[in-house]
Amino acid sequence: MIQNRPYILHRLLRVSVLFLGVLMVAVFLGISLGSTHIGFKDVFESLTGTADAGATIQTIIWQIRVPRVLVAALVGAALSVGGLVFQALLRNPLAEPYILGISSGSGIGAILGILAGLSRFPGVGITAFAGSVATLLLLLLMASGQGMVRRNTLLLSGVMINAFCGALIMFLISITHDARLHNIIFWLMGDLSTSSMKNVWVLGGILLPSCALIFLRSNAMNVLLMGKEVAHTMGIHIRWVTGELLVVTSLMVSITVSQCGPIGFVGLVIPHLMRLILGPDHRILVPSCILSGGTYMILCDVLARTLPDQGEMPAGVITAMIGAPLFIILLKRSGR
Amino acid sequence: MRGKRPWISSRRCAGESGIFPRAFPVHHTVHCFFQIGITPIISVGSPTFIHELIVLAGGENVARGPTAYPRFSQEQVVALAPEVLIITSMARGGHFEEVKKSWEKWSDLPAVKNHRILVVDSNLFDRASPRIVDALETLAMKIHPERFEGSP
Amino acid sequence: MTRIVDVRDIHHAYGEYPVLKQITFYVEREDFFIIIGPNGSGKTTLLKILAGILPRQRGELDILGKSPESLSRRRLAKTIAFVPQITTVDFPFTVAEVVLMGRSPHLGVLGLERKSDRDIAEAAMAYTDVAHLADRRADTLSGGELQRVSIARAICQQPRILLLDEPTAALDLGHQIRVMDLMEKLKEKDQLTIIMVSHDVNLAAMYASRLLLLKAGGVVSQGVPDDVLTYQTLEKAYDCPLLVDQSPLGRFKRVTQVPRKFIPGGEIPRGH
Repeated sequence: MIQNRPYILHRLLRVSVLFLGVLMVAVFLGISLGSTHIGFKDVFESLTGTADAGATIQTIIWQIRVPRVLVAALVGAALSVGGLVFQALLRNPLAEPYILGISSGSGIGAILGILAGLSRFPGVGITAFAGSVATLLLLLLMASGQGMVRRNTLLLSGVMINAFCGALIMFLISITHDARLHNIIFWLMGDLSTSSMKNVWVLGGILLPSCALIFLRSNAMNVLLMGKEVAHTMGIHIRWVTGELLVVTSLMVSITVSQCGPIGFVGLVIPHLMRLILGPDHRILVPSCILSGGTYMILCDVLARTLPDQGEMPAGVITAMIGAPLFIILLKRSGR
Repeated sequence: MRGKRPWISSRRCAGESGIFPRAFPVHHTVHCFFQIGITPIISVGSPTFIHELIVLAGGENVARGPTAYPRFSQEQVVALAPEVLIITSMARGGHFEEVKKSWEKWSDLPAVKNHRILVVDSNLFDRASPRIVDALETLAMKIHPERFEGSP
Repeated sequence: MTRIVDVRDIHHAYGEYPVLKQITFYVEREDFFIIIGPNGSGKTTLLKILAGILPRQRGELDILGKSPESLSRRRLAKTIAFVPQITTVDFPFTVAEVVLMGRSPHLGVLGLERKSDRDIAEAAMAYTDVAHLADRRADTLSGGELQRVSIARAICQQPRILLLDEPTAALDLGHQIRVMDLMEKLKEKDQLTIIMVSHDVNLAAMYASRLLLLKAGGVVSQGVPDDVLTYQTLEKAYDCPLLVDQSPLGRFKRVTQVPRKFIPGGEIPRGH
């Protein structure tokens, strides 16, 4: 019965508070754990300013870990919500910007921007955005017949675009003598280690408004899942909503790529997990993906920082190692 | 490249320029971090010739240890609090200044406070050729400039 | 009776290929209007133009006296609801969620429902006999159940006009008649105007207040069922031998296909 179900607004509040709490725990863990050992007590005192923990600890916490955790939260939120939007718009639960090659497309844009000597922001951000929009258009062109984007054609086209873009990136790296590209291997694997407060402002300034806009479109995304024609007759301006969501998502993906490199599979893992727990309503899924995507990325980055006994590894390695097997499981299941 | 670097002894080992630590007492072995890789940050451990250069030049290698070329995270470097940070890079080109700048944002780092982030010619340091003696000389002058005041 | 839908001289083409030519008809308030015709006659295209899914290329179309282009999408959604031939639900929404979505043209941007919206959804589900399915996942339903859920969703929009594209095509005999009865109930008790595309001439004969018979994108005949359903017009439209007689139920025409073996010497037996 409908009457016994909680109202969407109530569910929304409950879920948001719960996942915000989890995110806060992850933020604290992310600030506490790292390649240098700092006790929880010192971290807590440094964060609350109750005791002076010493200049070195202050520097590590405030200038290295805090920006890094914030960047991870923003990137994770953007990538999860990006995956969610792609899955809804393409009506394909396996769609994700990284799998479909959008991330590598914006990677090419970013590398060309770096080679042209542009600054990380806004220069490289803009070329990355151009790259992602170009690959998105190419993908839709390849996969769409008669308006409806077919399931496997889409995935296959995406995987091929991804492979091609990957090859193009390797080509660019191998032919160039530009010193700036020789250190790009870590970036290519999705790295958060160079995060600073400047990254936080750039990412936050673009990603938070984008997330808000996507949240406002969450009910339209529900209705879109009833099918294009039905959505049309339910008051949705399909072309406008779809275009807007795709552009905003590409912008989010390309800004994270230009700052941290292509980080894969976050947009697959989190939306699936959330859908499993919370059901398919996007008004609930969008905020919960934003919050728990941030949590997930922070935790992956903590693993990336603490697993190796020397130095760190790129966070993208962890997300791919978790995400790729999950993709295969989901692919097998969807084929049944 | 094998053996105990005979050219050093043939050229300079007589100590005519007096650059070896044993040849001049230093009040303080300076804590050095020698960076040879940018992302990831790679330094030099004990079983390397650069480590020996640092020791000979009157420094202490904060990255010493059994691994030849250990990796570090930013915060580990900050925690080691080196007094001198020396950057050479396998990557040639004008990239060093950027790396230098990226270190300078850690204002609490002793090396930053004392303006001792140094970029050195990787041609001298990255290979164990006869010119390694020039590298040693450079390093000594960078680590202990006070010893060289007034000398030509 | 007022004309609720007025179509004048509509033409439509997919690229070079014309699908509708000179279509003119009108639908009156509380009509049960059924569009029939052979495959490829342009029925579905016409319905999609009425629903605003396809753009009007040439001709005039008035809905409640206004051109649909002059209304906002949301406004239009409160006037016309559309039930597609096949509803696909790829994501695991529950039946209640799908039906409640029908309220979204009446709600704010996030579609946060109030108590009154839930009452409407509940009533719609009771009406279409899917209330017991409320918590079932829509992607686990049978074709007949899904069709009724889709109709419940459309009713939830509280439209003046309900458009349905072959709602009975995938249903068994029992479900067919229940859907048609439901449509009649909506028309009579809730003053909805029903416009339906159908392949089933006999169902059309029993329920329609007026019929539109299309062939190859043009109108063959229109009017009350008794006028439209004559063997002359039907054989012209469907291009096959047909037997048209009185239904044993009395008031309706009945159309029967005549297999070749019953046509001695190519003559079609007429009469009884």
